[in-house]
Amino acid sequence: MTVRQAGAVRQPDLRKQKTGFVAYIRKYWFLYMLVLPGFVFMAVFDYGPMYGIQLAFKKYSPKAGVWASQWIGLDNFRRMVGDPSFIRAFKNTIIINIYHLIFGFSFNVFLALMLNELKLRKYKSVMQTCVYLPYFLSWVIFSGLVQVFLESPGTADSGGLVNQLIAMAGGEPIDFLKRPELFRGILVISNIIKSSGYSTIVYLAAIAGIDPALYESAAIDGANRRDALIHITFPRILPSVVIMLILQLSGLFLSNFDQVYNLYNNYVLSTGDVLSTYIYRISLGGGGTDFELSTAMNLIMNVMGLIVVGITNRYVSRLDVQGIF
Amino acid sequence: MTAGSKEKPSRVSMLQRFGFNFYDVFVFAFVTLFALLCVYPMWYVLVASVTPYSEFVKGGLMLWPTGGIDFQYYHAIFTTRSFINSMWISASKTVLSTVASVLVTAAMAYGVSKTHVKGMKIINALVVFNLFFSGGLIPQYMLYKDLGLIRSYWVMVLPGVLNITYFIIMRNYYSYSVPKSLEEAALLDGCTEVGTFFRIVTPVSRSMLAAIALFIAVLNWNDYYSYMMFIGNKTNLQPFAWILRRMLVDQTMMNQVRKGAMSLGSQPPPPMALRMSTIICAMVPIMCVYPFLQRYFTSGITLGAVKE
Amino acid sequence: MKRTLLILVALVMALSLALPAMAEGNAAREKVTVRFAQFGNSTDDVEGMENDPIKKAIEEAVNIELEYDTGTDGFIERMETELYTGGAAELFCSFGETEKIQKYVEEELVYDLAAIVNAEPERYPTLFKIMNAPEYKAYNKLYTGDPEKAYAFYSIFSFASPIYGGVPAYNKAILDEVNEGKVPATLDEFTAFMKACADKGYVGYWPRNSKLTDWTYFNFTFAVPMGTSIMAPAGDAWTGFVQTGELGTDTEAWKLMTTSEESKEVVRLLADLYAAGALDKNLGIKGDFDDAYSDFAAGKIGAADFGFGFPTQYADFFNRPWKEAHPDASTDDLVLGTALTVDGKYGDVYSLLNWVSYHYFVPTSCSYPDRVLDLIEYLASAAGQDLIHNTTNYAYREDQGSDFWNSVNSAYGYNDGRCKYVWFAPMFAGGEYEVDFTNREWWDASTHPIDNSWHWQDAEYAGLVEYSMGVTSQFVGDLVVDLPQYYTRIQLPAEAADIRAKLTEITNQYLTQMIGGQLDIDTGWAQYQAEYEAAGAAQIEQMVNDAIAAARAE
Repeated sequence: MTVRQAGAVRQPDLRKQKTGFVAYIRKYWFLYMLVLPGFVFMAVFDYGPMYGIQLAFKKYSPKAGVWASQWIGLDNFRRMVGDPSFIRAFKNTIIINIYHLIFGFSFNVFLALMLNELKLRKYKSVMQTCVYLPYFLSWVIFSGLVQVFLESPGTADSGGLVNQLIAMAGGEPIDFLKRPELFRGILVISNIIKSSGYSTIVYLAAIAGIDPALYESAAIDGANRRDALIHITFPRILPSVVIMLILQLSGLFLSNFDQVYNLYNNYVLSTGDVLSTYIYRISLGGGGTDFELSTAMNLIMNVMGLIVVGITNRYVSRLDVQGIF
Repeated sequence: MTAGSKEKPSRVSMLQRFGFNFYDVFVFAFVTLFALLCVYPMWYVLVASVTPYSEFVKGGLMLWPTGGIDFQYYHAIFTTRSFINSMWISASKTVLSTVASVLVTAAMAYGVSKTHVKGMKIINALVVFNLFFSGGLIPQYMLYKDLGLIRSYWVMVLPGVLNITYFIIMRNYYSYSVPKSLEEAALLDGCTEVGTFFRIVTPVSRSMLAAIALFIAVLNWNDYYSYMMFIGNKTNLQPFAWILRRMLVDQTMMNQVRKGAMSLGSQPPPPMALRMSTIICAMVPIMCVYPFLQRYFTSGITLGAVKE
Repeated sequence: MKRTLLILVALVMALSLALPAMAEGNAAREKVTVRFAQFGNSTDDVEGMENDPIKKAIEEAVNIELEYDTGTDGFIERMETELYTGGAAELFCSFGETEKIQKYVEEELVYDLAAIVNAEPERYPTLFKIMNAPEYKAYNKLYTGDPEKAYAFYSIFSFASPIYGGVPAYNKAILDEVNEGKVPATLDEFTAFMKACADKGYVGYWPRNSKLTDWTYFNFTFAVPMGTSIMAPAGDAWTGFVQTGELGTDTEAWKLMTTSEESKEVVRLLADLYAAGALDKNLGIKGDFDDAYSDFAAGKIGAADFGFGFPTQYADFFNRPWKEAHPDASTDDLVLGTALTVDGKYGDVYSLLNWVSYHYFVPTSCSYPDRVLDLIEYLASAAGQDLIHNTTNYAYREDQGSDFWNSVNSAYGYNDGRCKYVWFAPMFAGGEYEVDFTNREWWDASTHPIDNSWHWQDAEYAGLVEYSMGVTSQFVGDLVVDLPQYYTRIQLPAEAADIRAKLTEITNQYLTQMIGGQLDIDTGWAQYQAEYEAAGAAQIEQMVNDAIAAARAE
């Protein structure tokens, strides 16, 4: 059957388009077939439960069900916004994410390029494996290690490695985890160590697809390796960089709960408290579940994310790179 | 495809031509330092997993196992039945969902990347919409209940088959990084659409496919949420990620393992070392996948080779 | 093992003969599955569960299939989701939260158990007696306004012996080194001990504090002897308050002390201790269990709080982490302290003798609530209590020791030597004690639980528990003020929850910063008071006093 239909596709011109629709389907049936399974999964598992979004504007009553629950307008949103701690958490979330974007995101790209520049192939693959390791430690463990490292010296011990080094250099020990002004930096750096290596994979895969002939001809033209990096490698992974950037921007208003929750403490709430930890402390931490509030929060965060992505997308499409839409 | 053999000599000549200079030293030093920073946490966990508790409480950097190396904790883990079983669950669900997910997601991404075909743009918008909006837990739970997925193995596999994030990455890769000329040439040569996809496009994009497969596999290997929320009490369906999670935060799981170790006649192992060894056990299998995929990242295939 | 099984089977058969009506009734009915959800066990040991003789005995007695469901992480979220989507376990419990039972009732998610029981008194004789007790109806009224409707089975917590959680354990070696082995008895002695520790390079004292979000142990140790409370008004209605009138009378008046001048002095003392290194510099960052207790076991800390005051917790703390770090430790190495005094007085700790600890529900999605009630009826009866508490007619059985029970309970993650069944033990008494509903009235039985724990423990463990009880009993009578019974029926208005959450946030932040020296106490305290007032401290004081007065009037 496949053969027969494939044959039909092979000479579309001979048959002249008779009825537009049928011919069109005949021409592109294979592409539609490729899309179909994904479409079905999407329709069932993503759009199936989509009606639940209305809970953001409702008071959920299991007796009545989602559809018949009572509309309460923007009450769920009002509950969030009328609270200075919420505003602070909201601000912190955005600032921390922008830091992640500026430092973390660019570091990922840089690390990928550096890894690619390593000459010795064996060494390169060893290094790749090394940087990719910490991704597998959960934040519970990883943040425990961060604390061990940054511990300030106390009565019974000389503090963590970093403070020991500072002491050796003759400096004053620093209470890293108690200083609100340092906390965001700690979040960004610990995230870089934990997940940068893992994030480079997608760039390395993109670099692997570059035609080596390009480098060869560049070398013949007298370009050095740094030039090759800037003029050949980087432009070729730019589409991947852009799409990763957009994906990261889509989460601009969401935060990594596991990381913040395991690292923060009362001292650094002013700069470190993010939305997810705040909501957890005031509602879920008590053991209850507030389905409407979490739906409303997700909705508002995602709508804002969508707006940011929409703007970015318009901008990148001018760069001759396909954005997200 | 003779990519590997063709490419090697040219690389060597490149190395010779560029020589070894300050730039290389910088790259070398930077990558090495960062790699050390990354390896240390793992090393810490590894050392702690073989260190007796009386040594562990003294604290320190765990640069080297003091007080002798003790594999009893691994022994304790491998004699706990639910651990072995959960390894199988994790492995099978990871393989199943990764294969399904990569096939479905990549195929759909390829189709949708052909934006000139009618309907593809709309489908693309429909998919991307999901990146931002979801119905939430309640309707999800009801849907799974209607589909008979609650308390079933398949709830850990099916819902995530279409992965939106990797759909977007793949779609962009197809539409940007796979040269249009290549496909057009293949079609002109009399290759069918089907043939072009399988014989031309897929080989060219295999480094990205490998990367996506790795990401999805890791995602599935680490997923415990679907078990936690939608299965919960089917002991035989626990994935290893869930066991690990419980080892880290749940006392009863710890008691099970300690009890198992005691029945072997040894002292009950200290919790910290058990946690550390569980982490290692959870990491090793998925990390073994990496070297197999890594070669796709380092040796891309040349476009010229495909044209032949 | 075989013999005990035989005895058990014989016992069950004898009991089923003794209760022919019930056994016949259920045997004739179709076998149904009852999923029972309880927090905090484990079901990893499939083999152990299949061989669990107690589970089999229960299933046989009620002619049901029991399915256990449990967890800690994400468990409550899953239970709630299941309940809200119509797939809840046939029998499940909450931690007795008033808001939850009210919400469940409002949404018609759970059955009125009293209606089912009262329809067939001869089928549920024990439950009929329980649910028609006046105290039971008083709780019904409290929760739903209607004394005749019982939407939950209430489990009452009562102490079998007096307990008090504000006593630290001292590292004997450090105590000998810095204080000549003398256990501090006054607050001054204690702070002197802490500072002496700091001089010798130890941390003086580690209060259990959940990264400075739980101030209970700071409060017990420092604020209570100084006659105040530094706690935020959360948890019990009277937390953070002191009584200025006379309990149980019209002069009763509670004053919120959290931001008082007295509390300021407590915080000043704590800040001094912190600055002197007598409190851990990483307080607020380090966790209790793995971090600080490891430090304690490693000999870096002079004294540490370890638990809520149950006598067994001291024994558990000795076994872990202490004994694991010191395999050859003897029971003398950990010395239990005493509550501290100022001017010869202990201060007041307000405590209830008993309260509702869990609510057990049958969801309306279950199509055979009568069968689930059969299960509860059986477990509440003499036969059921005997089975799960290892007794014969409420007298402890010597033939089934901890060997038997460890093999049963360890299938569910507990092999701590308790001779009672971990699954249904908390259902009738929050403290997992046996309850005699057959011979006593509900309230009488619930508040006089039977504690069998001492018959079976090994000598070392029993010695530790007895030591702990002995120490506590010396002062607990002078320290703990028992609140009148109507305090179990206090109902704060719904708005209180938000204000209390807010105040807790403020307290956590201000106390942390003032003790840690980031905020000057004299200037900070005024801000603290101002924020408290702005967040509704006065309202809460009013609400608490009103609610208590209302409960007293009833």
